[in-house]
Amino acid sequence: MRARRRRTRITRAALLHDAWTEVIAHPSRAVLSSLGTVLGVAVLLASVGTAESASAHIVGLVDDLAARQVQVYNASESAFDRDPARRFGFDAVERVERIDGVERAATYSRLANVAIRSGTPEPRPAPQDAAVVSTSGDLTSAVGATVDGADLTGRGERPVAVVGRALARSLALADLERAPTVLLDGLAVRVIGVMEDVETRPDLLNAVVIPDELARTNFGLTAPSTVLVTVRLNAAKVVADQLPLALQPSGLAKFEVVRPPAPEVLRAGVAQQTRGLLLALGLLCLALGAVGIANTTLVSVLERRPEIGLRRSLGGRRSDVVLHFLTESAIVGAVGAVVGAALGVLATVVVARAQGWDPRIQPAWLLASPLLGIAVGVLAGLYPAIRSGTIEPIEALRAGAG
Amino acid sequence: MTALVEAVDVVRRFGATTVLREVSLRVDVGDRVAIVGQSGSGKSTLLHLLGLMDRPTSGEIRFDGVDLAGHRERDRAAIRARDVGFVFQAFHLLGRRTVIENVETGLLYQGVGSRERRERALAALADVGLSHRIDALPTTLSGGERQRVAVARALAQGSRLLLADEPTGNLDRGSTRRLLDLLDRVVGPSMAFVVVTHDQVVAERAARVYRMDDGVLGPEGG
Repeated sequence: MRARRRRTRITRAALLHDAWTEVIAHPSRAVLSSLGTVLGVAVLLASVGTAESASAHIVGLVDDLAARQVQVYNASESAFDRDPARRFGFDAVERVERIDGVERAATYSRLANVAIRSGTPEPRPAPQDAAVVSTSGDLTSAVGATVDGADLTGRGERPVAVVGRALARSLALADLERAPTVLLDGLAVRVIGVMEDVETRPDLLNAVVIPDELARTNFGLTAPSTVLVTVRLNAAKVVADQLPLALQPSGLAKFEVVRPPAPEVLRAGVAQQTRGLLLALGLLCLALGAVGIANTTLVSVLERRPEIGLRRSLGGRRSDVVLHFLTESAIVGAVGAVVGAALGVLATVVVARAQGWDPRIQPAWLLASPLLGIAVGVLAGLYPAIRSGTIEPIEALRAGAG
Repeated sequence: MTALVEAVDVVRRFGATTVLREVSLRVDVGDRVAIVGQSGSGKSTLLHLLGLMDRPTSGEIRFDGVDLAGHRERDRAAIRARDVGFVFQAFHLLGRRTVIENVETGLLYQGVGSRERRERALAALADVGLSHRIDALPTTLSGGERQRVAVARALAQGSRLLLADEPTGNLDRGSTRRLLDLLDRVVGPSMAFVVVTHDQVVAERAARVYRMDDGVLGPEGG
């Protein structure tokens, strides 16, 4: 007669049920084991969620302004490029505003070596970094500024100027009602407005802005150096493609057109920048969580040697015992991750609301959390589980009373 | 007739210490065997070898006539799961599991479904008179009741060989008598029972009694 060699194997359902029962039978052990994973996943999701909410908010702001600005730089004034067929001229704004998708445009040229002084009885020189800028078109809107007083639109070559708030303060200019003046290379120019709250060209706060015509007739400006174009959202690329030909139909132009990155690229970039550090922090916490599970499971394996001996005596193989401990740590990891994900979402909502942002978190992160927890649990439980399989059953049974 | 389990010239050494010296023992279905001896004489080691929990240094452990000493662990585990039940002095119950969960644990490694596990566990607990304590935790049971749970766990497995290592070592006189009465009742003619004990009261219930003395097995009084 031969010994029966029927294969026995614990069913998957029984393994899962047995491991789950063991986990919930020791709630304090389970809580301690999962604490690291709870914390790790919570920080991870809070990091990702906060970064996404913040980047969505930032991109929203940028969309409204920078993402709608295209700049065109004129060809240089070298002998070759001075050819009018290669450059745009003073009619640039008129030409640009014909393009569909353009909301407004303005020229912007910094005039070199123009001395600025206040037109007061005792003229006061402007700071070194003050500049004279000439423009045509709606510069105020193009740079997202406000002007106290009047702006330059339609002023032709009359000697008028708008002065940045900082420069006005430096020159101690009188109130606009008293018709203050500034001297540009000795030419008295009346200040009709003060520019402030400049969003995209902060240098204008320290500048005297005059009309292009005045710059051409008095300061030798041959052509605008830059055109600032404000376009409708998402129209930047289309407009940028059309700008060179619109500005110079000869096709010989050598303009440099600078447009903002596409919103989705910008969004991804901002998200990546803001997420990177927080993500690293979350992963570090998760790694610490894994160490926590590994440590608690290892201690648990040593404490549960009599149970290991019992399981072996009941027909459990080494692999069954290893699998049992792995399943327990996977359960602890999964449960910890679910709790951690809930806390992470809560933290995201609280932080986002406190900052006035719309809370955002990718659903994929929520779905992936339990899987991440299982992976952490299995990885962390691997060494202790293998250790459990090396414990000799006789030795284990001698280790304690049940 | 083939023995259910048989040790043939078994030697077991742990390092330089020889614990069993060419021990032979045959146990047939229906046998009730007691092994007495002093602590450290090697009787528990023999029990573990018979239960396939350990391997001999030399000699054979035959189960149903097949020497399993050199067999793969999974084959030996399969026989332990189906044919061998253990009752330990220290009970070895899972402290945070209920009585019925403990008994069901005995069936985990047989690949039995949950419903069958529950039915067999309930039947075994009825056999040992603990139907009313199925949801109790072991910590709330007396020593005698805990040992009855351990017996129920072995019975639920449907084991043909029941091995008991000092089963009354932690019990008082009354509980010892009740446990022995229970074992007399539940160990049927299709099973074999081997008990290792210090206790003469336990040994007196066996049909055959052996004495282990410094790793050598001989008949009691022989």
